[in-house]
Amino acid sequence: MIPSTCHAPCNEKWLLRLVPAGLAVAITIGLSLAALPDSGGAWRRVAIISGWASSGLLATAMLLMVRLPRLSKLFGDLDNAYLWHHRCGAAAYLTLLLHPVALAMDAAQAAPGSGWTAISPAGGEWARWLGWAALLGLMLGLMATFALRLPYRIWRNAHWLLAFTVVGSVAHTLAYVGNHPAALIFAGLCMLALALRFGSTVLATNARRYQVVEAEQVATRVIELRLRPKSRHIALHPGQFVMAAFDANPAYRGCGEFHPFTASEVSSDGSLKLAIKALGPCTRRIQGISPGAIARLQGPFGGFLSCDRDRPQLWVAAGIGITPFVAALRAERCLVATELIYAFAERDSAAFVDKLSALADADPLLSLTRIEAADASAAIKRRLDELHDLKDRALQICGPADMVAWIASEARRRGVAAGNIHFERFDFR
Amino acid sequence: MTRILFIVATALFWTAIAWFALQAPTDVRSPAVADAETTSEAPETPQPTFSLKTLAQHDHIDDCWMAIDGVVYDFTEYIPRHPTPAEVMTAWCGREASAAYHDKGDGEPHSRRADAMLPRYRIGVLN
Repeated sequence: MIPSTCHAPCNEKWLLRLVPAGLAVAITIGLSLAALPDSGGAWRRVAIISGWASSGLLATAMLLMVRLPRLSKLFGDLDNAYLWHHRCGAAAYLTLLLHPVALAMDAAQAAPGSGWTAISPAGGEWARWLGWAALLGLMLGLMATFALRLPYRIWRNAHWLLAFTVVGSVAHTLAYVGNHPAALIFAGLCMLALALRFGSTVLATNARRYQVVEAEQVATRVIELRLRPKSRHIALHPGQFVMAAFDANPAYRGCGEFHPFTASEVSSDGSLKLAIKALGPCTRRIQGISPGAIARLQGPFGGFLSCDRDRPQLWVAAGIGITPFVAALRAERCLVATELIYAFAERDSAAFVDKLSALADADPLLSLTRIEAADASAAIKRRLDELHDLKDRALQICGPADMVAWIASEARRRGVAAGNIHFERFDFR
Repeated sequence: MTRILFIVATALFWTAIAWFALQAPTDVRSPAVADAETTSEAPETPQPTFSLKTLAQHDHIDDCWMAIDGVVYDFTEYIPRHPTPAEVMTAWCGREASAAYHDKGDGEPHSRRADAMLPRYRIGVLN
């Protein structure tokens, strides 16, 4: 059975998804007001306000990257927290750029030609060096973030550069306005977020230990692992995902990195199955894992398939995006008419095709449409056109981000209300 | 969209910074250093002298004098430009502030750039 908590009211969920934006506004305005200058020219005021606004946005971005299940729920799930983490980071950078420019403008107004002197790192103050280092670090870190083709590990290391940038930014602020309450709040929030992030991702103190008890190749480059908890288990619902790291043992080289994996089966005894496709160096190595290996799991995260489950369903999956639907169908028979469109490039690389066919044969409310094509867009469009009750269905989509966006847009063009379209972003870059 | 905004903002930022750098005097010295040297090379003129009692009368944000190493400065115009909140500086208005100048609170003295700016605000010496 799908637990009743999966049917949480969607309105409440949408409200929670606005929490990160509210937090950003509250912290940014709070810090800016607390440090509002009571003297100085217009550019001087712009410089101070932009500096504090940037600090507030940076502190919010840091808090939003903390990976704790309860906190992520408060922020409308992990994908929403990470989305706003990126938005706040970019906004912090844009406002930070204004800070030195406004300082230089202020100095140039007082004495023409002295703009550069006012901001030049050659001024000899280490605090100013720290400010420049923080700004350049943020610039380089964001450059790496926006480079989508960058290999994951380089991208990840570039992200750690941003952590040093935050430390530099805090030190710069404390050096200039050390005992100001706004500076202490900014420093406190950043240090708290960094400590929580370090504890949850590097030390992984909140991870639960599981053991791999079965490993089955379910398609080319896709392995499905059954994991049994070594002690307390994670209460997971179909559609949710965990962050998992597989440790080394004598038979397996290990891959200590945490990656997100959606459950393909959730059992009442606390064990679960993860379907893992080889997409990078770490997931390629996991394909060779054998029973006995130890995994550390964090979660649960996400709330996919938790909304709109009482109306007719249209589920669209591409590739390994089939996983949450498999978990839901393994958990219970359909309660309403459900059509599952499963698009994949080649039969050999498509996981669970036979299992899904068997489930559809046994469940009169479930119909399965398989689309085997390198480009499934034409077939998906055709099927959307054929569905006369498309507008009445809840559309649940899982797959690559660009494919999800395309299907959502096609559905909206055919009159499906935005509130009836559900998906989550699993690409955290 | 965010990526385009990042590229445009970064390009505008470096354009502005380059413009400020080009506006700076071609002499590698900062204008403040040049001012300081000009002041020191100027013919000796009698300096007004002020007592600590007179100094103490200029203890407001709108009328802020300080004595540093025996020299009296009028920092009234500079206070809005100081990097810290105004109260950090106004706490020393009307007082002998050498200790605060040589230790900002972190054990570090003010920068060479600050040294170079002092002559602009010099109004006399302490008797």
